[in-house]
Amino acid sequence: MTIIKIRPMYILGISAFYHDSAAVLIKDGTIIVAVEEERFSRIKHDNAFPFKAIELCLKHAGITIKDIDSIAYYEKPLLKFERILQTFVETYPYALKPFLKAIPEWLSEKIKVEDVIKKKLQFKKKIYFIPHHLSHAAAGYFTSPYPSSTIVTIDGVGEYQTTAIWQAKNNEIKLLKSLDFPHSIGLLYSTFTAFLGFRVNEDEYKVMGLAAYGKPKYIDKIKKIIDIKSDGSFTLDMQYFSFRESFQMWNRKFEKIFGKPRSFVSLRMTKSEPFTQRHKDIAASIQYVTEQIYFKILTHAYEITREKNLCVSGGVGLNALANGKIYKNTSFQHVHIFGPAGDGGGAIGAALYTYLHILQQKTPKKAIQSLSLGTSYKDQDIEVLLRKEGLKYKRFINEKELLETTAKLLAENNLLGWFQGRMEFGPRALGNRSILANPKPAIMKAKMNKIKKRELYRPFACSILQEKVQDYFEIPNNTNNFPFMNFCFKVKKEKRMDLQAVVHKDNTCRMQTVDKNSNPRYYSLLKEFQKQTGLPALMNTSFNMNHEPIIETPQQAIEDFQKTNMNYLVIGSFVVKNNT
Amino acid sequence: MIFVSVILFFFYFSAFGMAKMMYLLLYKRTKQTDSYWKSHIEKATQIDYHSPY
Repeated sequence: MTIIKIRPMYILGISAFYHDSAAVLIKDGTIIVAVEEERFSRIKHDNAFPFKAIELCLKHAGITIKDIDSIAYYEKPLLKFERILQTFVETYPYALKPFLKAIPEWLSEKIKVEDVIKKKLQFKKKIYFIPHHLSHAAAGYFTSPYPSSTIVTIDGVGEYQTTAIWQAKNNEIKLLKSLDFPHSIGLLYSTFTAFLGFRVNEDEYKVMGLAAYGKPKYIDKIKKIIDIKSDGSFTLDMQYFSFRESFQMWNRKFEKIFGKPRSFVSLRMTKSEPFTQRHKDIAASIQYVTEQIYFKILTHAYEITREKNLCVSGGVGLNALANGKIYKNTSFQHVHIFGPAGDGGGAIGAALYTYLHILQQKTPKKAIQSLSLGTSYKDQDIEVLLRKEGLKYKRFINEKELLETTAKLLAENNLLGWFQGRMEFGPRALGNRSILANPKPAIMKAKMNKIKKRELYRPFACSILQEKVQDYFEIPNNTNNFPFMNFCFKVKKEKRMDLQAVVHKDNTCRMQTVDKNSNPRYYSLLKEFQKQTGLPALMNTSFNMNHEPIIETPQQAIEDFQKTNMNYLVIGSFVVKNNT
Repeated sequence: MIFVSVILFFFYFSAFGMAKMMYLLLYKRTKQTDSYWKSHIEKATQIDYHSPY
């Protein structure tokens, strides 16, 4: 009898050259590894071609580039270049500076994605180019538990599209409606982000945090610069914006309506202009208008699909505050928002779409519950490093003892670095590369802010046992599954005193539910903390310093631990006390 | 780098100037409408996944 060994099919998904470059490897339809380039280059939101991330993917699978069957790229670069050229024509003769900057960049590298893949990666098989918004749509749908679904994709811009409504069934994704550049909610929000002194494509979540401190007094003024129809479609009045022809998002006409912009915040935060009530009101207003448009689009999508399941993807899908209100403001009953909803997740979407739709593999799509898809390190390697650094540590062979000790330290209000298992994919730390604390005492927020050197107004997130989330948050009765930390919900009035460190000014909290199967060690820690304190939740923030990517290696964990006032580091099976 | 910039400078003001004139000739102003959505319901776009365009 001859045994025929069936070779697995590998597809490499890539996103690059805009922001959050990433690589993902799928094996027979299952995501086996996904990482962002920033974690290796240490440049936040790195947009370089992800050579290091690809190298890691291949190493993780123990294969070489020759074993890859197809590469899926997350957009169509020539179509995007066409849109850029068209914009230069439309804005002629005012766009000389961006033209001089963009053209050499595009001609030297961005336009040659195919060449880069073929020559630098030495890949000789098929390359698939999946349109940008289709990659987003696929990332949402193929990682969801729904056999059929409405999909809405919203971001800054892809090739041309900025917003799109899709319908998905049996691995088919059909485009129903779309809006094109320059009419973009993402770019509208980013304009106000820059106007309030933050960085575009990085600090939008800071505007979201600031919004809670203001009143939406500028709604009428915002509606002067955008025409919104009842079906959620809209156009930006381009006489107020200059992002097509200059490096500044807004122009003088915009300033005549909204006043002087807040001066740009330097990286060291030394020259930042203090926030006035006007800034806070503008933040509240743009958040309000964004939500209004968002819900109108979703309502329209429901009207044309009559589908109860919804997937949202694209950068605007990271607006957790708006996401938390979807259930109340639309008719959708089940909502899935993939964790890395932005461009990094596009690599996953492109790869899954290639496998399941283009290559029509029979494997059913698999819902994703965990984003622990990155690197991991063995205890032996960590111990060598701890010794090398001369750190005193205690090793726990028994996991139960490790968790009891960790929970006790947290209950005693220590701030604790938590480095466990595989690194998360996407912008959120979900209990593998996290800094943890007791969410009850309000003082923990100030303590955490001291370590992270963050702006004081910004809220912290929390992780909670999935089975307890209904007790603490005002969420719909039919669901308790929010594993990716991209929903903000109101904390129940009677529970606010229990979560003082994480309840924001508007009584909401960005939260993540943790279940036993997707992250067993983190789940057990939450269980143990609950046993010791009665609280089934922990304050959870990413393990990094301000303006740095989340840590990737034990070395980086130790460096950050030593640089700050974190009290303990729990890394693998080791507990290290900070003696500085 | 300076050479490239100079070439691009002249290219911008010549080729793009011409293109802008054509654009203005052919440009049609958006009519008043109840919806800005571009519908793809009737006609699905065929996508060539092998092409970067």
